[in-house]
Amino acid sequence: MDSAIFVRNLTKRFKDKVAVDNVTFQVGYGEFFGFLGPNGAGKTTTIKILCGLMKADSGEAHVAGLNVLDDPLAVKAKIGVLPDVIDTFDRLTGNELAVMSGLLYGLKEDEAARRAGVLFELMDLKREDREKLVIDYSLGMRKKVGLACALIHGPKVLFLDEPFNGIDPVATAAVQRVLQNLVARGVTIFFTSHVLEVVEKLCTRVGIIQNGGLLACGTIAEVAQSAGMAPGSTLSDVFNKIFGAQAGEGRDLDWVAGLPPAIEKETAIPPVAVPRADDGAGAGIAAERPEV
Amino acid sequence: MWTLTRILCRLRWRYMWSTSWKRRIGVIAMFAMSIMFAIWLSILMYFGLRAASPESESALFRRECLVAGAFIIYVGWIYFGSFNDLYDPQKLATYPIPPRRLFTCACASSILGAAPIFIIAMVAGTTAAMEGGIIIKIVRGLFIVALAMHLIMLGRLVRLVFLQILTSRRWREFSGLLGMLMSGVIWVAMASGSRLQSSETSQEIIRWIHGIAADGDLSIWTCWIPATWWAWAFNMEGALAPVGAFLFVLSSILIARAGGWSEEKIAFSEPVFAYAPKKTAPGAPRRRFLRGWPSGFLKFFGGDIAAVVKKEFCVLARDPLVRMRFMSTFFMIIVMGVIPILSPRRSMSAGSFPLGGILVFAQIAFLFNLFGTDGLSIRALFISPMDRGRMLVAKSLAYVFLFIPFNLSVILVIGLFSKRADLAEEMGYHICYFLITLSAGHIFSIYFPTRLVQVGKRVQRDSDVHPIYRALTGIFALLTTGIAAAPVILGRYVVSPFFDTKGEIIIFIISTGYALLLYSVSLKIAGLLLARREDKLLAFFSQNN
Repeated sequence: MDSAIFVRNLTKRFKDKVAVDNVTFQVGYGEFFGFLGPNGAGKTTTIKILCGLMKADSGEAHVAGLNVLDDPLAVKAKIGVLPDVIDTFDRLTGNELAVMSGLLYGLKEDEAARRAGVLFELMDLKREDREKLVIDYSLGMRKKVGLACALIHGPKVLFLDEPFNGIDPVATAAVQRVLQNLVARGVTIFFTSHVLEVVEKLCTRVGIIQNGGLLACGTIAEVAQSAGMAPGSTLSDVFNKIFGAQAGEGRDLDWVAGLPPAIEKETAIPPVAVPRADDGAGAGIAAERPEV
Repeated sequence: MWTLTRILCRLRWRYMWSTSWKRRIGVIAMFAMSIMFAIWLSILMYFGLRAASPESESALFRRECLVAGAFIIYVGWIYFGSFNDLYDPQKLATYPIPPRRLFTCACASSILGAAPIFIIAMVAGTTAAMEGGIIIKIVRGLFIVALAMHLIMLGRLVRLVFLQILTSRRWREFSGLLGMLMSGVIWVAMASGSRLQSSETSQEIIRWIHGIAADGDLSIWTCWIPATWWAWAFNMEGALAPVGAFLFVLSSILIARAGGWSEEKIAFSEPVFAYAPKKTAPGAPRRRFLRGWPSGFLKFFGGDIAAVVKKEFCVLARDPLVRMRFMSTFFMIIVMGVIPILSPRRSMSAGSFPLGGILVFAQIAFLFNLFGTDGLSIRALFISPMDRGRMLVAKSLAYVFLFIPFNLSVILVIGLFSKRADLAEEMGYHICYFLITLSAGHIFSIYFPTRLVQVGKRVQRDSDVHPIYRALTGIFALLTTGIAAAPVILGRYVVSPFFDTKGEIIIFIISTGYALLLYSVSLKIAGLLLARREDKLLAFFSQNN
């Protein structure tokens, strides 16, 4: 099979609810694939099935040329997973956790420690932070350690569920850098995110899922076209067109008021003068405060 | 296999020892208690086996004694703990580890823990007591090691099954109910113990057991339990020995297989604690808590207090874990209500059985844990600008609404049934005890918070606080509450008898005043403490949930 991920008629039900409904798509090797959809659309369920963490009711799923449904262990050895909620052994330090992951993937301890060090440096995780317990980590640090654990064995396919959820711009940039580096090395990345700007920047192709069914799949231009939008449309526009951003329009929070209604213009807070880097006197106005 | 065992041992050590000093205290206490218990077990096995030696009794009698001993060890080991810390297999689900290997290695990693202490104790006691040459002693020692391994595997299997069950709301409640019933049976049996001792019945029971052992009936009745097969093999006599050995090994293999299957099942399972509202017909009226006069009564205290009380009721009614604890509390009350009836000295039960105090004791888990019942919702509560004292009043009111009417009804019914003379007094003093315990609960909830599992999370045993440390703080809390309640207890049982009814009423009024004073002082102190420790409480519930 030529695809890194091949899915055909995949279906998963939870009692009455169809979480994944007859989904078919494929992702080539070295592709950065974004899997998008509103909350509860079926993204995480699909990822779990593809990672061998959940059994599908019917259909086919192949990852790295192996059948996930028949041999999930073989697939797990070839992939890396960063779950949305990192529920791990949080009484270990970041370094211990990464090394333990390496050992569980069959690496020698020295090699696992070496790789963990490189990964942490790449992800800008300070040396002292590596020796802290994971339970004391911020969300961004947890994501970085989770990513280090997922990458330590050199996976062919990487599954990331909301990797940028709740992390700051600096951590986001560091993680993005690592991911782009991986794609350049031929690793396939399958990820879900609600940060559409990042998806637009990173992904070569996207798939959009709603109520368990795949609505569109292709490049952003192809997806925009299938949604009946102009070729230059942003992913955000496409997303809003498909899912409708008009909810609640015409309603007003009439009880909320930040300022008294009859405030005089002069009493509004004046613009703040911020020194510019290029003039020592601090005479420049960096930003004008909008008038009330 | 070896690498995985090594990793799990390292993990186990890390969790057992290297996390926090609170956990270390618990681990040291657990090991000390394990060693003491193991020595006792060793001595017990030595004397038990010596008593059943062939010089004094028949071979059949000795075999049946072995069957009985194995049965007790088997059931005891499983019921009172498997000596195997359970790591949620879901945490290892992303790694390419075959489930059966994970099960075997997790069991092997139990070598770090209390299990070896018990194995050594049993081997020492048995080999010292049993006759036979050195080879026979070594073989019997190996049999004991095999039994321990079998029990470690079975213990983990039981835990895995429970973990699986506990991720389902319905099964969770059922298992809770089952646990309560078992505890209830033990409780009632203990309550009946004093009756047995005082009668001929105990002698009859001993003669009956002796008869069973002498006739070999125990082997027949328990021939379906692996403990019996093990005892036959261990006895090393007759045709039953190879049959027992074969069946015991077969059952161990089956347990290992089932363990692997359970590891896989649990790794795939989804957390389903989350509250799922019942489906109602469209347009049906919304279910509301505290309708009618309680709602009107609450309005008297203010909207914020009413809101918190209603929130408490919603949590109690909807969170499966809280509901289970709540049910178990009532079950405990009912069981305790039986004691006065079962007690051989009916005059004591009718006159002075401290039912009011015992009822408060049964509910102490709630009263000492004001912020722990609903885990993380404490965050929402602390974000609100509500006065902390009023917040505590609201919590108190919720428990008053919940427990006092029920408790008073229980005292009334049991009091009438046992023709209790001091019924009104008991009911009045119960409210005093309740208030004092609530006062203590304000302080202990802030200093020793305990948590229930947050909705949507799986049960885990990796808390920083060891259960034994928690037990020690619980004992401290109970002792302090007892000291706080001492003036009321002394007033009632020591001073009151010297006075007539009028004097007794005055003492009761003073006691009530003391309880109210204690309550208001504790509110003030708890309000101040909360201002200093709110961040610590939030951190505790965030980390441990």
